[in-house]
Amino acid sequence: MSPREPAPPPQDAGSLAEQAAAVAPLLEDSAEDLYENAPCGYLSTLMNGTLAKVNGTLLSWLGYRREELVGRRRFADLLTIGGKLYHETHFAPLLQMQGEVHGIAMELKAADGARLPVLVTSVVKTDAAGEPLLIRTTVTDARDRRAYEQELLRARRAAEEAHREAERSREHLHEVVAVLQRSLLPPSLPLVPGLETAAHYHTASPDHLGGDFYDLFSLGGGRWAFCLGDVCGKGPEAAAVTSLARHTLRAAAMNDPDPEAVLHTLNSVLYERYTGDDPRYCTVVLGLLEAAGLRDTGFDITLAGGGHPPALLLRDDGTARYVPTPGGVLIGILPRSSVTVVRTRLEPGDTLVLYTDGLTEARTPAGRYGDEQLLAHVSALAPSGAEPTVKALTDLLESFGNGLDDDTAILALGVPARAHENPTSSPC
Amino acid sequence: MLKTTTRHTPDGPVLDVHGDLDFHTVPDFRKTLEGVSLLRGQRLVLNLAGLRFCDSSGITAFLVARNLAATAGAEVALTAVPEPTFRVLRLVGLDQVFPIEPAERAGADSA
Repeated sequence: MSPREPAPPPQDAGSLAEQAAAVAPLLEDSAEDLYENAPCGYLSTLMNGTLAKVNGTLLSWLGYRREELVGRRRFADLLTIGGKLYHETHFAPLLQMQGEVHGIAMELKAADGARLPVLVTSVVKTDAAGEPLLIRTTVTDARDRRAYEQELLRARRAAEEAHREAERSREHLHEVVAVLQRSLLPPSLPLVPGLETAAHYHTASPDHLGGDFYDLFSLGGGRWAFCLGDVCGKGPEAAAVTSLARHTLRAAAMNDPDPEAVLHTLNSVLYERYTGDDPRYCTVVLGLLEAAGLRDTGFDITLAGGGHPPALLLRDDGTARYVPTPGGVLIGILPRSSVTVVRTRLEPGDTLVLYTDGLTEARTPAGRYGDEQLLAHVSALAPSGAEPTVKALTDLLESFGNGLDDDTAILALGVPARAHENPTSSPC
Repeated sequence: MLKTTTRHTPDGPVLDVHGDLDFHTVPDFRKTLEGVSLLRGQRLVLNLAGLRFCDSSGITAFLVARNLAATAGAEVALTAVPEPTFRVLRLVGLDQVFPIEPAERAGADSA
């Protein structure tokens, strides 16, 4: 058993006071010592700012002797130039108005010129009549806090710089993608006498090269070739195939314009180049335009397709229909391609539209847009020239909004309608 | 989302495809395909009964399967092809390239 009973739990004011009295000598034996060596700086100034009293803690922080400051310097003299200005314009007026100012971040200048970040709180002491007598100020060391703030600032600046760098890289990528993308398409469609042409290219993302392509070029002798296709996949690998496909089609058509022969050549090139676990293929519609000879009499068209959605034909009589090329297989997957050829004619007022499946595969609230809706849409347009048809389909693509997640190419070839006889017009 | 399970039958492996074959899931599907062991003369069946969506990436995956099988001296068949995917296959002419079967043949039960 212990010789002394443990202290009873504090139950009344008397026992609390006894405890406080017991520990007081251990804590503080002198108010003066507490003032001098407190863990913060204390200073008092006259109302004009002249330092009247400074505690030992602050003197040691600043490296001054008491006699260098008291009665000789003003509080503002201890501040940096920026701090002086702030003191003059904000701190002092606020103190005068409110009688106290709390927790202002400032920098004190030590005797050796070093700067000490501090938090300053000042209170005006008044006499019994309310007249201001002096200013009492506590100064708290804020070096840790400043270091922390600076670390935060530094981290923020680093993050902002990284963000800007990422933005710059992204912009650069977009530029590169845009330049390469343009190289996969003709800069402008050539003028074909007696034919109106229009095209639109929608890129699903500025980050990725699209795999769709189209082209229209002269074969000489009143013959022209056009094509529109879709290479599988996206990105640089697909773009490389797109470039290969487009240039192969051009070169092959120059050599032998028979659309079936051109697609066989393209098939062989892709089949031999890409095999195994990296199959690269495309769907294509390729056509040959032959002017019928006389002006305004239209064009004969030979179309060959390899696994591509059927072309649309908008007739002058207001009807529209698909021009299927059934039986054609994706170009590039079989050693010997299977290509089907169809012939048709573009009469004045007729427009042929080629497109990629981004258009029909667009997601709508009622599911994929689909062939039937597309046919209904263009049937309502017919008769319609190349330019207004592409405009209408571009508007349709835009109406899909986020539902359009694939690249889409559209190419329209139309023969201008015959000018209708107008009995009131005078002959020219 | 895509889940593929592999079964082995006397005629060859059967891959049951559940979910979407698209740009995001096809890389995994291709890995699965590459891990399937095929013997000369066998038939790899892709059972598409559980296929919900298939885009051009999925079509490419079928072609990868076909090329892998050809390398092994085997063949590939598609079975239970959902109508939307069948329309795409017909559009791009792959109905002429792949044997397409309405449902699994008898004897293709789990080994």
